[in-house]
Amino acid sequence: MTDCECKGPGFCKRHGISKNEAWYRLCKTRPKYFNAWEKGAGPGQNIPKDERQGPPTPGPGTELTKIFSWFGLNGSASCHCTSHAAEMDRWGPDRCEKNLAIIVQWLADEAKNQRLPFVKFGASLLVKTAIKRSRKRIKEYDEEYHGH
Amino acid sequence: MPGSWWCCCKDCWSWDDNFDRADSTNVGSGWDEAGGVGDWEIDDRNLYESGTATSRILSTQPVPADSEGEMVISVVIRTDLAAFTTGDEFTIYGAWKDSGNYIKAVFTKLAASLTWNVEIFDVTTPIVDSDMISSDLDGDLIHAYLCVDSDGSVKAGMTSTSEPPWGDTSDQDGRYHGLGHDNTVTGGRFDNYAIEEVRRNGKICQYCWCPCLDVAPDQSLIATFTDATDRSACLGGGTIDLDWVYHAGTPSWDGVGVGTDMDSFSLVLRCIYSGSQEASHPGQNFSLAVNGGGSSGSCCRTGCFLSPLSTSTCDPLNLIFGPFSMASSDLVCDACYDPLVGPVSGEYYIVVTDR
Repeated sequence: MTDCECKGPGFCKRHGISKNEAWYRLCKTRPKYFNAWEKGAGPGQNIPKDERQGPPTPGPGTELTKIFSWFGLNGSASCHCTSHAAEMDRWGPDRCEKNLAIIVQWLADEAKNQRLPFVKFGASLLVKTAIKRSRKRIKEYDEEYHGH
Repeated sequence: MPGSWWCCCKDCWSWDDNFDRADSTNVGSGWDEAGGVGDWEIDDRNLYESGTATSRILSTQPVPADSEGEMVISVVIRTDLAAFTTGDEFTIYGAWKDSGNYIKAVFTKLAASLTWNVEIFDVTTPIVDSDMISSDLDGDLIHAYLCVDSDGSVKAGMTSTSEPPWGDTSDQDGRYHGLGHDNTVTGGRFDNYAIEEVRRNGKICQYCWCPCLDVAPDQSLIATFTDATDRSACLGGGTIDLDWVYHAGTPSWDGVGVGTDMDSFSLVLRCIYSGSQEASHPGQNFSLAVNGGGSSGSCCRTGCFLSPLSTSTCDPLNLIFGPFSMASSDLVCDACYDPLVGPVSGEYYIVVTDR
């Protein structure tokens, strides 16, 4: 048990955040979580609003995943598609363009793993399309959220 | 051992015994035969126990004091040379302090089937031969392992494509380890015993769990939606339970939202064993995939795959992902949509913690 003063889920004055049932339970029973909240570094307290991970709109990885889903290709559990898509999102359109050969090789490797047919030119075209769509979304996002 | 999890750091303490020595009733100075149970010997370059109920032998080689309660033990069970009968049990002991304080994993070959049972904390998990990785099954040489971590996490299994049993409920602080065999009819044979620390000087010696820095997350986690604004506001405080799924060696913590609005989401927290482990940016070997609003991912318009923000922490586990955005035009995502309010945008973060 901890020194957590919360009487139940809800807004916690002491820690300045709303705690749901799960966080309330952690506050009550886990000293490490309670201490982190005491230091202002607990769940919900340390969300840096100015830090953005990845590009501000659907990244190329997200776009490429959507394109593949059109063809009914959603990846298997053993596929690295998700982590590769995340990496592409982190890179953003410009770095993806620069690393086009790497991305195409990822696709080739996955196609081989999944025993799917693979055409290098076609894969390259899909990646370029994803990059293009990502750039378009970024522009739309900027206009919608930042007015420029 | 779980092949890809096995790494080696030069400064990690380890000890092994392949039993490749002449037949003898004296098993060697690395073992405390007198303090054990049963009749143990070196036979045909194996450690052999001739058939005693609940036999046990402990090693004389403890893990270093600062690694008490943390160890990874592996051994080969030679069912090719020793016949077994139903109920034949092979045991790995870890974190042994005394006869009342230890962790054990019991491996039982069911003679009537191709199934092995692996038991920790009185919970038995069946692992069938067909799930075992053929290159490591090596005939009837069963590669068994037991991982014990100081936070109470215990995992035991065989080189297998199926999920090894995992418990998070018992914290033992012993430094010793050993083997056991329980059958009065047939003997038990072991080979290639090895033990290593889990971590040393902040480095992971053995990857039994996918760590966040050097902390092993529990198998049951929870994702909380927080700092949800405008269109996303209804998600604030919502949770999705994440449960560890082995996925044939590509593990992740998966969860599906339940209830109004949350049922638009499913989450996959992935961990890359050998991924980036920078103390200045904890959790970089993790990523969260948000699946929301169908294949278009409309409930996470700003990118559905993110790595944790730099203010995340591993101990306690507090991985922060975001911001995710739900845009006004994405009506495919029905979470928080209110036709009376009309289309507005919104953001939210997802925080993954212990459950």
